[in-house]
Amino acid sequence: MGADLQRVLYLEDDPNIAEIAQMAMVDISGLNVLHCASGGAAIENYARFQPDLLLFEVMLPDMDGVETLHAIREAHGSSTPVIFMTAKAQTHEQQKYMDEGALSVIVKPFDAFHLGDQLKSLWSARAPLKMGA
Amino acid sequence: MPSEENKASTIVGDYCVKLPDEMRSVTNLMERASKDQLDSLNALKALYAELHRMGGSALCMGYPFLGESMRELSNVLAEKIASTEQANGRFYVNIAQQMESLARLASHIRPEQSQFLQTAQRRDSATAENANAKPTTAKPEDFSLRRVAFADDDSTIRALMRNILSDLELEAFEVYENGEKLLLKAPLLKPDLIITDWLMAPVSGLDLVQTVRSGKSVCRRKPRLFFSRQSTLWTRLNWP
Repeated sequence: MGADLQRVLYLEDDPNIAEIAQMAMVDISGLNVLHCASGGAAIENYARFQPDLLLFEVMLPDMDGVETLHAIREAHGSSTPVIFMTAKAQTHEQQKYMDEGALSVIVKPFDAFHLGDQLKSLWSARAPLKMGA
Repeated sequence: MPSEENKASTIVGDYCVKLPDEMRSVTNLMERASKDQLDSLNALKALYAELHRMGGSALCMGYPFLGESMRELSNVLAEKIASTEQANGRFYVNIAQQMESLARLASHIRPEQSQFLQTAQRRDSATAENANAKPTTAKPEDFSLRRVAFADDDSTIRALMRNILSDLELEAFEVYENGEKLLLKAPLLKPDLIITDWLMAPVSGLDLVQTVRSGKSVCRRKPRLFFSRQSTLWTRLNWP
């Protein structure tokens, strides 16, 4: 599958959760993370940052995580793998996000001390994506 | 590189400082929703979204009791939003009361109670222990007494107990006026030991024990209970 996971574009509007997740990914797991607090900021920074992985909170005030993913896919023809984070643990909700092509759905509250390992492992095990999928 | 404990301590400390403002802001949203007759649905949605966000935040910060309480209230709002029945004055009175309880809970949040911070501390300790590696020593279960909750309606006894507990170099302790206050606030303390008076109102020592034994999440692990008076009753009940 090639190189290891390095660059994560992280979309989360809650500053407290963002702090913890960044500690998990940057300080504990050594990932290069760009945090965006809104879908608009994620779309704007996508091309410049060239992430290996998108980690998107689903529930956001204006443009939600799924809408942001659609906008990035449309604007850039991107096939960058995505993992959603959500507090909604119901199976049908999670399946809806998996149907959007997500590698996985991480349910909050997440295990901060193993989040980075979890992302690396999901990213390494991913199946090759088709462009425009 | 800062230790995980230092980093977690900064994050949780900031959260505890900001939490009262966040509680005020969500209370304002609730008041706006109750007054805004023209757009009450959107105001309710905004209140729901904020409480849902804050619940997730509290859970991630390691305050499960607070986070679950926020989530429960946000679920009540979600049900109302989904229903065709419009929110009335009685509904808002009920929500306001629950918001007050949440604000009281939030006002007792302290960094050292955060399970996230406690995990960071344990991980740092384990790393330090591994650095001084002594192979094949299994870590024994921790039976140390670190957190104590005490309830008694007699202010003299409470003052006396405060002095005694202060001298024990505990990680934390709290003294409550009755069993009700202990049940409300001790889940954040997560005590190893509860010491309680027997005859108190509105929640007696017996009520307290029955509630804790019935599974209410109060203690950090299997609770140890001790009665400060009426020890004959305790003996009769054959309590451990």
